[in-house]
Amino acid sequence: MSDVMRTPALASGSIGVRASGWWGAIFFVMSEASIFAYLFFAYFYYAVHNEYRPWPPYGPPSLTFPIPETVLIFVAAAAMLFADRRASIAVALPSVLAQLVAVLCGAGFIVLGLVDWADKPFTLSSTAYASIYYVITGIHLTHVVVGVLMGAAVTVWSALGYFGPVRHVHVTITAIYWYFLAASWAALFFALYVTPYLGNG
Amino acid sequence: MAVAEFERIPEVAGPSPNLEEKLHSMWVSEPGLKGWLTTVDHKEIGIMYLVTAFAFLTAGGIEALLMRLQLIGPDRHLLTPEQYNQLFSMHGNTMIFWYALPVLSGFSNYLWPLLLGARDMAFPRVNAFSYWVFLFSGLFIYSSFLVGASPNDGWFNYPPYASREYNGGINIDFYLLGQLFFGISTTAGAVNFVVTTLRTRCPGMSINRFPIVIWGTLTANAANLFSVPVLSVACLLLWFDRQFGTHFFNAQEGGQPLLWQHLFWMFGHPWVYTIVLPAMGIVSDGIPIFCRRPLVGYTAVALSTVVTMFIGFGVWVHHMFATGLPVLGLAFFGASSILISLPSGVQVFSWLATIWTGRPVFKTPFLFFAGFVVLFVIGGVSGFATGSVPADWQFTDTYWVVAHIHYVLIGINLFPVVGAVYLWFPKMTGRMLNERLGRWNFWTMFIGFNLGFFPMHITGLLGMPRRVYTYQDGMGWDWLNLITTVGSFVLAIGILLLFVNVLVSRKRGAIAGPNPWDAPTLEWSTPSPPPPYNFAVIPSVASRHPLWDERLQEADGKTLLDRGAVLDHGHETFGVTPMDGVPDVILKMPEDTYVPVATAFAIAVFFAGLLVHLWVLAGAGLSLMLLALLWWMWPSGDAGQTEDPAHV
Repeated sequence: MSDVMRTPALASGSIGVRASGWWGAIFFVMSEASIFAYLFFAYFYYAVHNEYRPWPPYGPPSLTFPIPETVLIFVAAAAMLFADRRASIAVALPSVLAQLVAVLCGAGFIVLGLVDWADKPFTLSSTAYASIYYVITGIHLTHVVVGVLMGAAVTVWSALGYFGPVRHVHVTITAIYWYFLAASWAALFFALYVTPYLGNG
Repeated sequence: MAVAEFERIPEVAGPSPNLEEKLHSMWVSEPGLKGWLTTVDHKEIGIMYLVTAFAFLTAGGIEALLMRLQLIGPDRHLLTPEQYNQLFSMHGNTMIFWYALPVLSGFSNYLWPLLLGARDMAFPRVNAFSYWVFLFSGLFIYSSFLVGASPNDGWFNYPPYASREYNGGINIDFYLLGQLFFGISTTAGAVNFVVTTLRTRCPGMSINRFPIVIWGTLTANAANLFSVPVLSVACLLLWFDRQFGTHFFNAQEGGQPLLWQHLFWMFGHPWVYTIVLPAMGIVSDGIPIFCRRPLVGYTAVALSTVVTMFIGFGVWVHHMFATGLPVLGLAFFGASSILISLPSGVQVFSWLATIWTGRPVFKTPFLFFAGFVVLFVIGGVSGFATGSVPADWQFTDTYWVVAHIHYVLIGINLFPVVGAVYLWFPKMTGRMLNERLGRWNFWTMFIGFNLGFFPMHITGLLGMPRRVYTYQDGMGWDWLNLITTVGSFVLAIGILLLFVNVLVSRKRGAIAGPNPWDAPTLEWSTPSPPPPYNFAVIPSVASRHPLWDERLQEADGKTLLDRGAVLDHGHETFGVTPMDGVPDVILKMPEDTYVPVATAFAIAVFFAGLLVHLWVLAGAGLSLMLLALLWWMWPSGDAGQTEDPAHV
């Protein structure tokens, strides 16, 4: 075989979709996403086996905080998309600023999530609904904390000038994680906040 | 700056002493304790995995023998009921989690880069990390023996018996946190195996040229990505029930104990295929070596491996036929369970056809692989019977199921694994295992195993329930249990013979040379044991059997083993296109480092804190872990992660 010889020149190092880290992030995120699939299975399992009470037992949950949370997490994901695109251009500043926006939106999301929790009339141990509600939103919130920490680290690294137009896979991977955070929130929003209004109780 | 600045034309040459010396000094791990803690060499890690997994096999085996002594006759009191519960729970957990998958990961770790023509796995540090997490999680759950509070509700851990109300000690917490801990290792390993297969190979290694063991391990690990999270979710929910008074599995407050069984078996059944498919791959690659011909039906075997796993995600309810689910559900899951016999049958007939049309050489590895085929058929038939709903209602919770699971797991995992030790020991150490002792090893294990486990089918049909710590006289079970106990000790002696053979032959075995079996795949083109860098020049392959090209005449072009890319600017290997194996990048690989073991240790501290409710300790572990990850992920010039043209 002369494949080696046929390749005139090859890039070296961690570069976009050719970096092992990019592939690792894709499969890791798929595995993480299945956590939410199984949690929703549990949620609906409780919903359909809940014959004697309305579901959710406290009526459909308030959307006061979840709607702004949705806005924030999608802005954060969009900012990371922009940051990843701009990382391919030699000037670093727009990318760094976009990463900072994503981190701040993520932090705002966490604050709203905690305020929403404080606003609930039930606790973790009130009912099966309360338990699964807090655990699903809590697991998502934990993932957002991870996203914010990752975002903060790459923002610093980008500002230190480690990355450039060719090698910036850390930014790309953080962006992938934020797409996952937004997508899993969208699924969560539909399962926990929309379906109760569709009359499945 | 442009991409061109980071491009270079890989230098092509043949191996030379100068090059080998340069690569050796670049790739070799330090000797001693430091080397052991810091190595990222897949071969070192593979052997660490194998040794640790065999240590767990020994522990799980001793637990089994204690139970068999207890059951040797009716009304014995060697063990108390609580001790018996802890032993059968730890036996199941040890064998299914801390032995069966890690031992296969050991072989896969050792072999993959060698089979695929690369210098290491895609993520060498993740590889070390998953080993250390595997080890620490095993020590974590075994530390429960020190406080006399081991898990006591089986490897399946059903509530309500596992809930705080009925099981107030720390026993079940060891199980739940231990599983969460171990799941990190499995998931990290799964990502590594999947990406390694897709990306780090040599030129020409297209997917239709993978050895079957690659297909088996790839399938198993792709499945792990989606099945391990459900066990982690289940364990987290039950741990919350036990610690924070949630109501996931607590029926009085709207919880659903049966949900645990759904979640557990949604994980559990794919897991069964996870711990057998790579072993079946070992056999599919091993039988052709000793039959002196390629595997019959390569494509059919590769596809049926994948199909088995797909169907395997849709059969979990067959573990729950006796729980009162709707009849329609039972019919569906009964049918899907029986459907699995089709891809399994394809593989059995491929092995039989390979043996039938080959010229078998009856060396020890072949004995184990052929013995595996027999046991696979017996275990498959008893499983087929159990997949039938009315029959299952008779078999459920009897020794029939114990017989089935052991035919499947010992037959399909342990026999291929021991065969694989005989097959690859020469590659790992440079010395052959003793053939005469090998035959004694095989026949002792084969006779002991069948003597021990075949009668369990009858004990089960006679109605003996599983998991009882003793039984009354006069039930007709006495002599069957006596035979089973004798058989289990004979099996244990067989395993002991393996250990003796390994210890003796490691120093005194015949020198193996690079390819003692005249086998066809790439690992046999390297010296035994292979150098730290695996290949002095990256090979390029033109067929499925690169070392049999000449005689098979099936190559598309020519396999090149002694001329190829040098890749000596630091730790480097090719990244290739996933389907065709055409290089599209030069990957920079990490050096040896303390980061993986430090991260794993931090996670251990975290789980220890959770276990004993020392939240400060858990917080310290978590902070330590975050710091270790920051250190790990810090963009590195040497690894080609920063925009620095000095590293091209």
